[in-house]
Amino acid sequence: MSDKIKITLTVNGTAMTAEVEPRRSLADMLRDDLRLTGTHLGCEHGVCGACTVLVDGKPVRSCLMFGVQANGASVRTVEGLADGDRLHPLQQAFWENHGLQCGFCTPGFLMLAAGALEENPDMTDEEIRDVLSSNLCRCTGYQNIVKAVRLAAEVMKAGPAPQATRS
Amino acid sequence: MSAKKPAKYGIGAPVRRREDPALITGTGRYTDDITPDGTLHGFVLRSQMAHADITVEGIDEVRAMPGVKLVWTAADIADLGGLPCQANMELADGSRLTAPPHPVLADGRVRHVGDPIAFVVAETASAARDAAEALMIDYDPLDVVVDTAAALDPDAPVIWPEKGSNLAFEYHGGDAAETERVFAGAARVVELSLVNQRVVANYMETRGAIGEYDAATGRYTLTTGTQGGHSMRKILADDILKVDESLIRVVTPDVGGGFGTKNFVYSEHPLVLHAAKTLGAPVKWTGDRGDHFVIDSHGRDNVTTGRIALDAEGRILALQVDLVAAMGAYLHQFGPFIPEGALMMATGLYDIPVWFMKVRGVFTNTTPTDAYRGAGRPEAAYLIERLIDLAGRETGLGQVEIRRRNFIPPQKMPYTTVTGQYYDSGEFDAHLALALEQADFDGFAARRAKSRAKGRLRGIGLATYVEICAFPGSEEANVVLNDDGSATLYIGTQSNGQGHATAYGQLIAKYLGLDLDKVETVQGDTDRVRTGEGTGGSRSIPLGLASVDIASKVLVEQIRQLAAERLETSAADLELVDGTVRIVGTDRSVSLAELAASTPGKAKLKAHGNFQQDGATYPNGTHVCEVEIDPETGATTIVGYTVVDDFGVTVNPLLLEGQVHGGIAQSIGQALHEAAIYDESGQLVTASFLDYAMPRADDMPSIRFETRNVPSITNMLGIKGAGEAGTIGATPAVMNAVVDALDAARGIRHIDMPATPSRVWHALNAA
Amino acid sequence: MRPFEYTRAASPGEAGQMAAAPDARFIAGGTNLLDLMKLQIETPDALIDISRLDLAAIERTDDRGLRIGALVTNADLAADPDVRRHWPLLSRALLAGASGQLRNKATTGGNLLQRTRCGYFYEPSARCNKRMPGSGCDAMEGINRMNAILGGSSACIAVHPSDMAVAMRALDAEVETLSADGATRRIPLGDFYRLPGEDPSVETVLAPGELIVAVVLPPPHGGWQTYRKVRDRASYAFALVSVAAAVRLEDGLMRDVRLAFGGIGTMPWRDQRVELVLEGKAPSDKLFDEAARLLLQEARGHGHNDFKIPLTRRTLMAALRETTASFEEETSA
Repeated sequence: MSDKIKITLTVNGTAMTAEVEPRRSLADMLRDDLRLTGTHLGCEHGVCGACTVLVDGKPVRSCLMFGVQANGASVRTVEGLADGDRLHPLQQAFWENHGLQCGFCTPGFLMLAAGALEENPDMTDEEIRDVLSSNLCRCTGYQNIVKAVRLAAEVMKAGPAPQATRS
Repeated sequence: MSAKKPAKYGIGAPVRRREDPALITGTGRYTDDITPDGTLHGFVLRSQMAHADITVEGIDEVRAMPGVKLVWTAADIADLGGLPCQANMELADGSRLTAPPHPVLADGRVRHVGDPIAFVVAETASAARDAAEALMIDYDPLDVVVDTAAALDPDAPVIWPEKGSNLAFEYHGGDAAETERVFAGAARVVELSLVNQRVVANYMETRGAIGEYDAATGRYTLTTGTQGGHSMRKILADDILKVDESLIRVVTPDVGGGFGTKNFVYSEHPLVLHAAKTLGAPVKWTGDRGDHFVIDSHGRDNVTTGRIALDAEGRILALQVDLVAAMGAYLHQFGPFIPEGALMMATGLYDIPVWFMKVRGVFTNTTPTDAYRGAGRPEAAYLIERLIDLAGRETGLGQVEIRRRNFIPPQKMPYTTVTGQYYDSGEFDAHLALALEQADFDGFAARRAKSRAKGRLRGIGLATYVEICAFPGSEEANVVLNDDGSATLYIGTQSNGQGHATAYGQLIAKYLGLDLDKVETVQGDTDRVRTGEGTGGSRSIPLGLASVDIASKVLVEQIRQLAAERLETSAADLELVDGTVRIVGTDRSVSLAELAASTPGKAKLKAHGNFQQDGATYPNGTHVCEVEIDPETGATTIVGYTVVDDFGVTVNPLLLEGQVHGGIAQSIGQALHEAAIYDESGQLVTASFLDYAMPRADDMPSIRFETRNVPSITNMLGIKGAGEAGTIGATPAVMNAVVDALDAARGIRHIDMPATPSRVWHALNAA
Repeated sequence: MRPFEYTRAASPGEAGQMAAAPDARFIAGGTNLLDLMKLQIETPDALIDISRLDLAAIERTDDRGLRIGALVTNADLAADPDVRRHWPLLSRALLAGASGQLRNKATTGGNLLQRTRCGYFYEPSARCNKRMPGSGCDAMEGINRMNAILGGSSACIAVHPSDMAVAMRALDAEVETLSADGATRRIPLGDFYRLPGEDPSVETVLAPGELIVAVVLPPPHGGWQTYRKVRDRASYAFALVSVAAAVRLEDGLMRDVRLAFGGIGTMPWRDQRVELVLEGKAPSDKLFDEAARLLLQEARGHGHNDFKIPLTRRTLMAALRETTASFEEETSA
């Protein structure tokens, strides 16, 4: 009854196969089976958004999706956000603007913002705040997250930054 | 004149965080990210009832279920001690506080929803959960008390019969008779009864714990998010496992927020250790949000009546407070201490000569309460700042003048309050004036008129707060120069996301002439760091950084001596720059790596600092909040927020402002949204994020923040501490603003938190 | 979570046949079902994954209406240019309904079938006739501020949580289904939900294995439309009261009045008597008040939710004022 099902999917650009119990959430599958622990679980009920990943380009809550449902899908997690050693403009902006403290909610915010900016690069400040309101952060008071996303949006529109590196 | 470029490192530099590259790329390591080979998984079965005698049935059947390794109830762990309450304070009757037992697993009786009943370990987390849920708990229900204000009613069910009532303790401060006398002769008395409602910490990373045991050495290793592993190690050793402290190692990986609540030992800590020893395999427990809501200690939950006696000019003659604090069903580790914070800081920034305060802690069938960001100080500030505001309204002096008239005047500084606090420094009227200017207080009347024209009610509220940080004590720091020329700091404070490694590192980097990424901070491992007092009470930077400063300076001197011999010059001619020691004004130098690698014995490459602070520090400041209320829906929007803080000295303005933002957000949460609510049967009806309203990005204003620092004379570096200040100033500022709007519109002078739309709407429609 | 069998259906017909088995459920977005399974409120033996079926199209119908595939996500539906122009009420209700990540997964069909957010439904130790028929209802005497004031029975006062369904109800939507035996039918949304009665565990008229394939909207209403939602942050984002209103003004008289309500009923609430009171008359506060009184004459509070009665009245008045005001005076919901 709890037989595992074999699925194939693309994670951060790499084709992967996994054998998972149907009852395993996508978040648990990413964390426990694929060892991608950057995706975090904060509430298990789809409210906090810490588990946000991109599935076929759209931000979704990976705690509210079964892993088996991702069969054939393309999943992007925080581990795939940087381009090698070159940080994504959102990562760079979160770092420079102190957009994180404990960092636990950060992967979810990064993926939420990445998906939202890919869909609409021209969000107003109000729209940014509105989009970010679907995730919870207990440390920052959000002000620096909003600021970081706004500045990253400008950088992304201007084209890739030449010197954004991890160190 | 060219603009002065800020220093790259050192005190005051806005250094971006060393911690961030890992956290933004998903390579941080929080407790649940760690799974040693062969790990077994534990599940705690919790009480669904608030008060009942229990028997557990079906244990043998569950033990036989596939994959199940162990099933424990209280009887199976009788050799373990209970969870201690460390508050053995002196009480009003002269006795010492004694706590009722708090067993690791409930022993025949459960006293709150979530009380742990059984621990099951299995090969997988889901197998453990399935097995635990197959246990049959036979509940024989007992009467329940959840209401703090009703806990002492004569007919209330008594949770601990040996105590005779639900009174857990009573302690007093001040002079009751003198206070009565002053009140009797006062020109005016202002009184307010408030509920400081129960809230839940809700750090984003829920707790987890991994226990390991090495049979060869007899040593235990606990990996868990803490606010400092040393105190946890001591409790586990002395009180619960009853082994020598040296046999326990506590490792703290990345911590996803603590806010006070991760300070404590919880049942799962000894359970995973004891199970790891019993089973000879690592045992891991990961709590979920539901566990957090019912088992991790809650915050606040006071019912308070405060009165101030005023003379004819509006000067406060005396303060009288009666505070009832819910302790929950057990006395938690620091629980009874928390209202003491409210007591110590009761008089705020005001020159109040006479006082009396009565604190009663009461048992209810609820999750125990303990430290939550601010821990008593927010309760104090909320009361005195609401009271003085009301006095401003009732005397007609207004919210600014009543404060000015009662501030401790500069000529009385330093000042010892009637509650016994030594305020070493501060210029209270000055930060008030600056905050009013920044918030354009004078333009408020025009903004209110504009809002009125739109049918909205506008209010402005102040809080001029003071708090106590960095309690007397010390935090030793050891700085080591490594053979590769990098430096390592060993320190026993514990970052929970504040960025300690950056704050400490930026000072060490400056002294040693290193880049920040060449300075590593080792924390969170009781084997690698000798002592530690952890993070709490905004102590890490005032105490920790002072010791880092001492150690760094000593190390720099030692390095100079070594280099002087090597370069055949005088130490006084040497500077540490770019990873080298150089003769000033020349290109003759030796790299730190070369120097370190070639130094025999390594004694000269290590330095120790241990700043001992005798008094506490007292950060203070002014918050100004402006709100707009839609009377149609009762919804409150924060339209302006200004803070001017006196933190003594700013170490890293980026990090500092982040602390203030976050503290204010938690406080706005309490003021407008959050409440932990129990129904009459003791069910926590707000036990998930679906029901417990956390502030979100669109609930938050853009905060305007400034410092107006007056260095502390108590702290070596002048630092006062900033971790809790935002939380302390914001609740009264927000609520005073809400009341200001409601008072102007309908003469409403009190509303309790959280000022939800429905509560505000009801108040408007009842007035 | 209990183990279950998982199958991805290849066609709607196959899905229906597989789901006709007892304790089988369809899963699409899963945003509600998965949560309920974690809490073991739903414990299906089998999940039939319909999320890859070809039911995600939004098409205009021959009569200028709209056929919305059951698997169209809430995000896509809210963003659809046709919907935003001609059925703005629906778009607004969807945007009011959930976070972006949930809208990206939640589907049109699934949204209609959301289960209640009543706290006692979620609390395993509480009595709840919806979760465990016959066990009783702890909400009745409990903390019931989120519960229904209309349509309740002695067995249940749980509110239907969907914003989208309220808008759909005002827009006269019909639900198109495919039965396990291959038959199709169209069910007006007004007939789709069942009042709780004695067995609140049965919420719709759907038969086992009957699959929602689409929701069909009639031609656009054409008048002013609004969706007003009063939420209380004491809960996550669910409505205390919401009003979907559509009104055309002709020569100063109200025509084609449509009013539906969320947050107050055990199902998305509509009361055509209220609409008839307004029909063909000039807007006035007095008339709005009369409509509100009619709507609420059978409303019953249970203590904590008594406030919903005056709040509904005020929200309805505000929605009617908004939809009947001239363009300049229109305020955003």
